[in-house]
Amino acid sequence: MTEKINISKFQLYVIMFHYMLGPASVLCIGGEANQDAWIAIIIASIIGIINFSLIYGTIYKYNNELSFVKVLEKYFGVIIGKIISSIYVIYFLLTSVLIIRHIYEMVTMYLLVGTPIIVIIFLNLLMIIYAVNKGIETIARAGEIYFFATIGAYISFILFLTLSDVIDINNLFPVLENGLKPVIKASLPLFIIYPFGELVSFLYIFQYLNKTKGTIKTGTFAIFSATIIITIITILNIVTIGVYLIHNSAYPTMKMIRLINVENIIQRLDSLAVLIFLTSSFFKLIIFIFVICNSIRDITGVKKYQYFIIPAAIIIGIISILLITSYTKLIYVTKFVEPYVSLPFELIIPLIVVIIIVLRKFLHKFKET
Amino acid sequence: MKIKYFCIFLLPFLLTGCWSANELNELTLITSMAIDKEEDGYLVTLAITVPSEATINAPGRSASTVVSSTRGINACDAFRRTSSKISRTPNLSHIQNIIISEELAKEGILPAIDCIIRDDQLRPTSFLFIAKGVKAKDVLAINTSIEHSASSKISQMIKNAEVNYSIVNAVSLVEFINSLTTPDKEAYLPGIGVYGDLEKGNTVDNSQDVAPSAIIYLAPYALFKKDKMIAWLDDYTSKGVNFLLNDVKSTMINYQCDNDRYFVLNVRKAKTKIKVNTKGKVPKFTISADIKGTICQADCRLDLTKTSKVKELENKFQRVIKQQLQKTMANLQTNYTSDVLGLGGYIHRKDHKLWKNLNKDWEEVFKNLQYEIEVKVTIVQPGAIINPITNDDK
Repeated sequence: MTEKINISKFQLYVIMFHYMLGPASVLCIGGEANQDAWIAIIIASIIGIINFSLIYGTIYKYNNELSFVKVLEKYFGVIIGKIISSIYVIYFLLTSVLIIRHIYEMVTMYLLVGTPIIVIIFLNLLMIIYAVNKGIETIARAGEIYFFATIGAYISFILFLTLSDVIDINNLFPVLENGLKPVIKASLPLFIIYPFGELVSFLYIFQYLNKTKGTIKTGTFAIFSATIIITIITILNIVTIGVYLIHNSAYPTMKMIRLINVENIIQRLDSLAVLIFLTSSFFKLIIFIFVICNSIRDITGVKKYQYFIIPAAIIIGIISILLITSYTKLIYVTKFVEPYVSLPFELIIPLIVVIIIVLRKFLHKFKET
Repeated sequence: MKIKYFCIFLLPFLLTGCWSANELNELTLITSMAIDKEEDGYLVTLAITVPSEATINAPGRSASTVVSSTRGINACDAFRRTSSKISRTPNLSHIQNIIISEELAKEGILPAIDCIIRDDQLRPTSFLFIAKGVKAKDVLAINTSIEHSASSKISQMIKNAEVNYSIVNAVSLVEFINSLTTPDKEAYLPGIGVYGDLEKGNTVDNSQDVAPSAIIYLAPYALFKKDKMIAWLDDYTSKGVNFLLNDVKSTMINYQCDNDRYFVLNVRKAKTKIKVNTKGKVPKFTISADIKGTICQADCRLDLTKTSKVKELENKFQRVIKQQLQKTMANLQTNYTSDVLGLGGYIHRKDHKLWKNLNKDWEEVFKNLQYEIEVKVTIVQPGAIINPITNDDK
C-alpha cells in the first residue's frame, strides 16, 4: 500500500495538533455553557480521548496496515464498504467547505477587507493543491516547522494578555451556576464531534506511519495538548471580553487579541493572530483534501491519488461559494447541522466496525474451542 | 518549463499586494469621535489628524487636528456621510476616545454603541466619555497646548488623573459593554467638559496663549441605569465610588482640624475588599478598605514624632474616609439606586441561587442592603519634614 511514505510519531503529533486547533480556537466553541465553557471543553476532550483510544484505537490495532476504506471493505464486504466510503468522501468534502469558508470570513473580516471571495478561495486552494500534491510526508514536515511558530505565538498571546491589564477573573464565577446539565449539553453535541471527533480522518493516515507502536498514545497526547491550548484560550476569552461578547462576536478570540496592549508598545497583533489561526485551519483543510483524494483512489483503484486533487478542490471551491452565502448561514451550519451530520461518521460507523471486530474475534475463539 | 510559465501566470496574483489596499496617502487617521443627538438624527464628529502637522518638527502654524461634523439619520449614516467632507477614507483603527453627548446618553446609549462595536477596525480598548455641559463635538474642537490635539490630550489626561487623583478612571468600550449587558451591575462612564470660551477655544491661538481661553477637563462619573444615563456624581461621591471599586491608585484625603486648617493624607496605596455574607435573610456586605499613605500637608499642631499622636491622626483619617464611603453608599442606594459597584455580582458569584431570587426586584433589595464599612489607615511616612511648621519660638 505505502509507496515508501513514512511519517514519524512526532510529525503525526504535530499534524494532529494543528488539525484540532483548526478554526476551533478562534470560534471559542462551548460558549453555550456561558462561563463554564472551559469545563465543557475538558469534558468533551475526555470523551474525545475515550472515543479516540478505544474505538479508533481498536480499529487501528487490528488493521494497522490498511486505510479506513479497506477496513470498511474488509468488514462490510466490498460493495457496501465502497458505498460507505463514498459517503465518507462526501462528508469530508462538506466539512472542508465549512473550513475554507471560515478561512474566507476570517480573512475578509480582519486581514483583507473587501477582497472578493473567489480570489481568497482560489489562492487558498492553489496552495492546498500544491501541498497535497507533494504528499503527506511534505505536509508533515511543513507542520513541524509551523508547530513551533504556533506554540510560540499562543504562549506569547497568553503572556501579553496577562500583561495587558484587561483580565477580570470575576467573569469566571459562579462556577456551574445552572448545574452540570447545560455544560454537558454544550459539550456533547458539539464536542465529541468538533475538534476531537473529526480525528476519524486520521484512520486514513495512520497507515503511513513508520512505526506501528505507540500511535494511539501519541494521538492521545496530541488531543491532550490541544485541549490545554483551547481551554486556556477559552478561559482567557471569558475573563477578558466576557460572556456576552463571546456569544455576540463573529470570532471572539480575535476580539480578545485586539485587547492586547502592553504599555502601548505591544499592540495591534491581530493580523499576526489571523495568520497563526489560519495556519492551523489550513493544515486541517490539507488533511481533509488529502484524505478525500486517498479514499477516492482506494475506492476506484486508480494508481495515483494526485489525479483527484484538482477536481476535489474545484468542487470544494464552488460549493463554498454557492451553498453558503452568508456568515449567519455558516455559523448555523457549523453549530447546528454539522454535529448531527457528523455523528454517524465519527461515532456510529466506527463503533459498528469495532463491534464487528470484537464479534469476529469472539466467534473465532468459539470455533477453535 | 511548464512550471516556469505557471509561475509567471501566478505573479500578478502574488505581487500586487492586497486587493483593496489603502495606501497611507489615501487614508486619514481618526483619533477621536464624538456623537451628538439632534432633533432630526445624529451628529458624528471626527477628529482628523493633519499628517504634516502631527510630526515632531511641525511648524505649528496651523492646527494639527481638523474636526468635521456631519448629520445623518443614525450614527452609522452620519459617519458615512462624512465622506462628502473629507478627501480621504477615514480609518478608525486608531481611535482613542469616543465622546457621547449627555442628551444621547440620557435617551439611551445603545444606538450609538452598536454602530461603534460592530466596526471591524475599531479597537475595543478605546475609551468612552460623556460630554458634560457642552456638546460632544465641542470637546474635540478645543485646541490644546502640550499635547498636539484634543484627542491625545484626553487620553493622556485620563491616565494622569487615574494615577494622581483618582476621581475618575478610564472605562474602555469592552468594559462598558460588559457592565451594560450583565444583569448584576450597572455601567458608569467618566465625564468630560470644557471650561472657558468655546468660540476662542478652537483657534490656533488657544494653544499659543499662556492662559488658554478654553481648556478641557475631566468630570466625575456619569451613572447609568440599563442603557440610560441617570445622573452625574460630584467629586466627593465619585471618589467614593472609585474607592469602593478598588480603583484608587493615589489621591488626597482632607481632614479639617480647625477652621480653614487641614491635615491632608496622600494616599499611596488603597485596597478595598468587598465581602458578602449570604447566610442570613438579607445579604450583608462587609467593605474593608486598607489605605497606606503619607502626609501631604499638616496645618494644626500635632507632635508627629510620637506614635500615639500618629495613631490619633490615623484614626481621624479613618473616620473621614469611612464617612465618605458611607455617604457614597447612601447616595447610590437612595438617590440613584444604581448598582455601579456590582454588588449584585458579589451575591451572584457567592450564592447564585439566592441571586436568582433577588434578581427580579434587585432594585428594591439594593435600596435596603445592609453593609459594614471598616477602614484602616496607616501613615507610612510623614513626608520630608516631620512636624508641622510653626512660628512658636518667634
